Amino acid sequence: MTDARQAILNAVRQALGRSASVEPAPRDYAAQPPPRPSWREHGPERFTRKLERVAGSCERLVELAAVPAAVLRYLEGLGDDRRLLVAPDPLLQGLEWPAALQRSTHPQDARRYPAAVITAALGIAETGTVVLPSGPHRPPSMQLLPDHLIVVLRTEDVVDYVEDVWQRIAAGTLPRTVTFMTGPSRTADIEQTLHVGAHGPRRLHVLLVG
Amino acid sequence: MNANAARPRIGLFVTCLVDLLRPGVGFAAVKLLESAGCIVEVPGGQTCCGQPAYNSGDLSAARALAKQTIQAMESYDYVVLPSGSCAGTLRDYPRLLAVEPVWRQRAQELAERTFELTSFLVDVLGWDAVDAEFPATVTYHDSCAGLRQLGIKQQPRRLLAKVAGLDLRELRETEDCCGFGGTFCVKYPELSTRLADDKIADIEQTGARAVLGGDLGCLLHIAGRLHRRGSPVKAYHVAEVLAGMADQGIGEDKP
Amino acid sequence: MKSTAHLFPEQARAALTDENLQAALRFAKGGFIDKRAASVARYPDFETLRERGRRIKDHTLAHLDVYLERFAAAVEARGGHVHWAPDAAAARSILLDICRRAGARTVIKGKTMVGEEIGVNAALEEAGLEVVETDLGEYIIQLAKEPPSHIIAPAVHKTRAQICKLFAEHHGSPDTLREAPELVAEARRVLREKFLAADVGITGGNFLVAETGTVVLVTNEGNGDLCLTLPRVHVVLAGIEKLVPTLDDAATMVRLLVRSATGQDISTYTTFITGARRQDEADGPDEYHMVLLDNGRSRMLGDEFREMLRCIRCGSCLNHCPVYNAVGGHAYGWVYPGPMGSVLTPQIIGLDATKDLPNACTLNGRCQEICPVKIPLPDLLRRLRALQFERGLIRGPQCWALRLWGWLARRPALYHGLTALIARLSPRGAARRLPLDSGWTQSRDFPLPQRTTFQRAWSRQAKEERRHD
Repeated sequence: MTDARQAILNAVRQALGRSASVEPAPRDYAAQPPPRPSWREHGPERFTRKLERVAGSCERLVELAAVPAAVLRYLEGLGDDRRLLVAPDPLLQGLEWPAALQRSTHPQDARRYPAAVITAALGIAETGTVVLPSGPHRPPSMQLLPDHLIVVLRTEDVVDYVEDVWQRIAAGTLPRTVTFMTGPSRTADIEQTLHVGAHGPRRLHVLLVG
Repeated sequence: MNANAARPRIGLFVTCLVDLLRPGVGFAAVKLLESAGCIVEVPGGQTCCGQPAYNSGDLSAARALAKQTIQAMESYDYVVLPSGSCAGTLRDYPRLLAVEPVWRQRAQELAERTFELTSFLVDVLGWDAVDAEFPATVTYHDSCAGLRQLGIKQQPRRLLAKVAGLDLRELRETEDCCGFGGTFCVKYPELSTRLADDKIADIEQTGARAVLGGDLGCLLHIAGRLHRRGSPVKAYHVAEVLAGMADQGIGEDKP
Repeated sequence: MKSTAHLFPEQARAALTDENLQAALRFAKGGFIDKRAASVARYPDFETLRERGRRIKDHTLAHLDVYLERFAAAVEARGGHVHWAPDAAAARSILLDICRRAGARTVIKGKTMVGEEIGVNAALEEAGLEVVETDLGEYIIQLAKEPPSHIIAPAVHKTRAQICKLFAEHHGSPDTLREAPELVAEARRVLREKFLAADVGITGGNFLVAETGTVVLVTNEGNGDLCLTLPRVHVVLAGIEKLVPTLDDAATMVRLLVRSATGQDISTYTTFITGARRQDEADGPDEYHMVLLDNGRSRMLGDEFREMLRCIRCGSCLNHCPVYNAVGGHAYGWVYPGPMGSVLTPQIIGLDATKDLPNACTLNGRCQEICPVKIPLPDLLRRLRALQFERGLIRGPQCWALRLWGWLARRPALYHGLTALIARLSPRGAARRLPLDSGWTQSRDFPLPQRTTFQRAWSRQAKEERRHD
């Protein structure tokens, strides 16, 4: 394997007309940010608008304490099933959940439960995206397997641009995965028309708190 | 002061297709340029700009023709061509001759003075005093090289707007390739014809009785297909219409 | 994947008369073009973004050795295994080895063009593994046992009726013409079982970020994320040209990619994968592998085709190409169709096997106009034609006719004499048949000369004027 590595790096260097690596030239283009969309509304408003554009839904809540009731309302809107996966996030675990809900915290239940509620670390106003780093509080299977995904996001955690995410999640502390999720899963592979609910959640509902 | 000093001396490069298959386009170009106050010469040392060789990878032939063209044309104030693709080829000469610094320099100087006809009239001379009539509904095909390499889009339209009685209806897709593509049209005839048919369907949608364009290659291909299909739609080079010299359509043989 | 690129002319002809394919292509064409155009129009100064994308790529390629080393070191520092594959055979062998060591029986895959390039599915299946494509388009063509015909929408050539039949055959569902939502739901159900049972997940990588050793994966369906979360082993397969220096650079490239590919502002799932599962994480694979593929890319880096390595596989050039839109992707005979395929395929499998690809192009230039990283595709195709000419790969009557033409054109006196003669002797109007030609006149009339050439008429006119002076 080391031979193959050497072979490829040597081939690359040869192609570049070099026998040894040199420090790359400065990335001049990075002196200023790229052209990006701009907007007049507040970040959370822009976030909501962009999310709704891609068939996500968003509900504003005043405080975290209102989350459990909002989640129950959401499930009631779907039918009789009260099974709910709650992410092992102290923020969620510390709330007062109604007895009517049949809760679980185990990732294995993600394959059977119709709905899950998780927290987002950040939201991105540019695109209406929730930022979901993997970790002990956020097992990715919970955000991928259930049909319905409810995401709790605080308004103070809504940043403007994609690049801003990396200011808040420092490069040195990246977890295994950071998923930017924007709306429910979709495909256009049949007759090039858009259909929601491919492999990931069919519905993405954000509770925007604050 | 010599009255001629203010008049630009144009070397007209008529292009091989115009020379062999439709000389009227050349005469129309002369008329337009003279109306615009130019002195026009057509040096005999020109034959072909080398585009077929260039696009087929025969770079040595392309370079030879480039040098021949440069020698024939470089003494003029401007070189003007009734073809976007041929003008584009002349503009590519500096790259083609990049490995020969002296020729590259000459090619660069020529390229800077080389223009397609409608672009020259409008962009360089600021001239649009067209004096012609063509009372008919027409449509316009934007040839790819002229459009994308030279930015020719508004110029022919601005000139056609001055043609009395002419009603220009735009194609739904003005910028779709007609399928000529030089040797492409004979190497892949079914493909080429299919693209022509798509273009013709678009032309027919406009109800135009004539299709105009700035490149004779495209027009021969479109006209040839129109003819084979028995269509009454005629094809003309835009220069012919602007010069009031649009009589027989391309491929027609009226007595 | 075995190539039939040498059969382009026949495949293209067949495609032109394939009703199903033509119907499917009609569906697809306008959508892709319009969506991209709308998205670009909405963006503030897309042209500056394109230029930035070009510069990011050119900078990275100019220092690819350093960025590759940094990337690999960062991946390894996070517990990932990096494998280097000089060619397709090496890559297959590496993937097979990873699967064998993991005791794998089922492998699930996200869409990866590089996977097609090296023929990983066939290799794994030959070794007795079950391989399941999870991207819906890839799944459909896997059932149909066909290669992809588009790099973003692999099953774009399939009509809904054809898909219904495939599902009926393989899932045992009703053999009737059903609506798309029902088909999507069915695929979700069927593939969910595969996700849950798989041992190894293989995905591609849209960008590889050198500063952090992060792989960026862009999908809409969520299948990529499932492939990298549920199985015990996750393998990323990507070409060495996918490197970008920083996470911020990746953000620019993602903005260019999604708008060019589907007209979206961002894909539903944009996932950044850095290393192996951490100790305190409940979810995720036990092993993480990164396979870096060369397969001709380092050679392109050093020759006149380096610009092709900027390609971010958006598929936009295909969508805007009149030839692709007329014949679809299969006519090109290999993994990569359309303009980018016509440059890349000869680079990877050789000029000999791909004679038509550089020539089946009108040089209209639309591809270059919309490429998010400004690859000069028509110029690259011309360069390939020059190479073909140099190596004597192009033969036939057309070649000789062109050479004769070039020879004559360099002798103006002879040229003008001969052409004037032809013009004088030629019949008028338009010909239904021409000697020595079938290409033009099989479907078009040929407008004939008009008694004289311009040069002859012009010099006659000059003589007249001199006489009158």
